[in-house]
Amino acid sequence: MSKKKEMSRREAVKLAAAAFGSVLGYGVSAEAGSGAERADIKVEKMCFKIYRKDILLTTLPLPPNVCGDIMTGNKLLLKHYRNDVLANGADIFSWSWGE
Amino acid sequence: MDQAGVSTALVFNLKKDSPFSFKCQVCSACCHNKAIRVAPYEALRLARNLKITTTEVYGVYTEEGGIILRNKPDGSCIFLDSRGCGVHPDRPLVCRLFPLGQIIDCQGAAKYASMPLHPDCLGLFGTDGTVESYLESQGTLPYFQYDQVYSAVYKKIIGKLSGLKSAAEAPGHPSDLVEADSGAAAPGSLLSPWLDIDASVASCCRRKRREKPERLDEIITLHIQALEEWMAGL
Repeated sequence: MSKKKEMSRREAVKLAAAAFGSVLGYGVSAEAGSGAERADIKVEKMCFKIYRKDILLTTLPLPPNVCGDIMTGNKLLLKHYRNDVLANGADIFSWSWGE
Repeated sequence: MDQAGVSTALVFNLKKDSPFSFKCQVCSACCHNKAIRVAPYEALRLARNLKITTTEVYGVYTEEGGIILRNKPDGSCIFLDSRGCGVHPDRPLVCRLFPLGQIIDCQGAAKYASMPLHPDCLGLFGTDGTVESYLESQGTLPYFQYDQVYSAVYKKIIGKLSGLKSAAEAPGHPSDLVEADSGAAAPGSLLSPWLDIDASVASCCRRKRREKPERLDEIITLHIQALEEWMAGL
């Protein structure tokens, strides 16, 4: 009779965390449970683009230091101004990266 | 006005009351080359549709440790046949949402994205409904409900993991070892045997010498109970 495979309790719980995290859409890093449950994102390049329907009108690559600020927990707000006054009021586009 | 096959730009700030409708034309363009994740409730629904166990669902229809559905060699979904989706009444959540996606921001608020369509998609976009009415029409409610239930379990697992780390147990001590299949008799190919509801619940019922429930909500309650008891006993 073959001996049942054994693993450490931590390994078993870690696998359960990875499995449930994966199927539920949570990111689980290899160091899950050590205070770094979520893998941070790393953006090397990002562009600001404006389209009219499917036609690209404008493209503006963002500088590397701006890309470096794109990380989990930070938020992007897109605001436009007219005569130095905020013009898009409550309709500010907002986007957050990760949890 | 409806628009067929228009590959719209990604829109990701839709709210539940945003105008939205989409009429699928069953062209199946969206059923190719996708990595469809399978949460435990989704595996259970698929199993009941196919009249098999979740163990068999994972063994036959999933890959990557039971995380995603298999595709056929031509890239089509394993459940796609000549008439369309072979498990349509019990299809996974992401298939129900398409072409929407749900995004939970860092404050826990849900918003929705409308994804660009495949160029061959014949689906019709419109504005004669809302995001909320579309979600209801696709039967997403129990899927979101059980996503929340299992998300709470997931957070407990993460908490347990942190506890095990901080306990600084002596490596190699016999009490630090568990049988790989403890609590469930799932196939070794699964990332964790606890994904497999039928196997976990069957094992739990054997231990408790009780009948296995039939209703899905009772089965899930028992699954979570068994998982929590396992964690408490570690």
